[in-house]
Amino acid sequence: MPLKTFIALTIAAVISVVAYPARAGDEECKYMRDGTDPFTQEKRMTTRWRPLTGWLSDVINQSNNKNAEISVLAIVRGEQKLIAMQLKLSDTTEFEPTHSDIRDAMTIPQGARLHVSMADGSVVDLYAEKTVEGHTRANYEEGIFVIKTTITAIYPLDAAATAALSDKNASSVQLAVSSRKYAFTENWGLFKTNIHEKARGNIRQVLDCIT
Amino acid sequence: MKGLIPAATAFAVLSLAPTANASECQYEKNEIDLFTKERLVTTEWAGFASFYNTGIEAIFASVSAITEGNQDYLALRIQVTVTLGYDLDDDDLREFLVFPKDANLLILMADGSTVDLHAQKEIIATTRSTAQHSKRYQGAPYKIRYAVKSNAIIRYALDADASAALREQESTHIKMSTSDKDYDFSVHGHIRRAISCL
Repeated sequence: MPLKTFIALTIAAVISVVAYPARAGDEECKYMRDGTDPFTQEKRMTTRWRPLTGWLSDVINQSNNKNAEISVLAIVRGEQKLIAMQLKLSDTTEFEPTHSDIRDAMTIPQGARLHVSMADGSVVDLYAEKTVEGHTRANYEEGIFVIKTTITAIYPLDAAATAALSDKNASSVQLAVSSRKYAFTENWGLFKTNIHEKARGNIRQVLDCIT
Repeated sequence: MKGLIPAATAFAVLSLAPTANASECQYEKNEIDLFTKERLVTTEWAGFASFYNTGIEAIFASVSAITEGNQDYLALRIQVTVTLGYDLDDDDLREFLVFPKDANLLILMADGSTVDLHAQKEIIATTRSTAQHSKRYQGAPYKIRYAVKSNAIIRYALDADASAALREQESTHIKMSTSDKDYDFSVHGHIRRAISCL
């Protein structure tokens, strides 16, 4: 086990012991925004981010420079309900990145599909509202460049999708993404992950918070 | 000890005096143009917003009222700061923050009515990108972060109706349109205070 991983795991173990009682309140709804638009009087709500991947594997991946985190939140804009997915991904390279490598590193195009598999085997497909660019940075560390990107895409929900997603737990997600030079995902153009056992209710939970 | 109390009182009065005056009008410029004999007035800029948007973008905004001859303006100054992992080229810098001619400024008043103003002319913000060196790669500094700072002052012409409406009551929110997005701010009487000083 590399030293970095060991240190990360030690820190994670300490945090888990210290923070454990605080995690009991996870079921409650908390909002980053909860109010009305002053101009249109439309309802505006944004829940907080809820993870879909396990925090322990996130920590191990981070220490190996192979980030593969995904979280979800729910949004209300007037009558429209939406969910947002945030990906945190990374790749390493021995070559110095150019400005355009960084700038165009990651995109989720308008209409890109989000494919959610539910626990009972049914599926829900959603499509990105608009094209979004990742926020990408490079760091030079011990002989390699570590490229990290954070990208947030928003997917509108219709009544059927809302009902299907709030009905049961989700088991895995697939997002169509477009990365240009860096292999942020194992499958080119597709981020795919199983939802962590304890996070399977999180999509349902954020939707419950806005209904 | 006897001398100390009057001295302390005098000190307290003197140090409070500027604060007491702060609610009254202060001007950055208040003069008559020597050539045209026009009145030129700019009230002191009053900051009303500073916040971080999505954790990436920092925004500062302030407001002032301007008179040039017979024309009054509401002026907004906005500063956007963002840190990027790449440098911007000349086109990026030019397009970073643009207010087209007639771009909207929507002001929501305390009673729920709105006042709609339009930018006097197209404003292209002054944008600069500064490299922040950190580690060394092959002997040369590897530029990892770029701090991008963008500044603009936008003037919105005021007609008599708008001016009267803004003087009459306080405004609560403003929505400022740029070429590609809107900025929402809440304000607390700053606009009324500035206009009343003209």
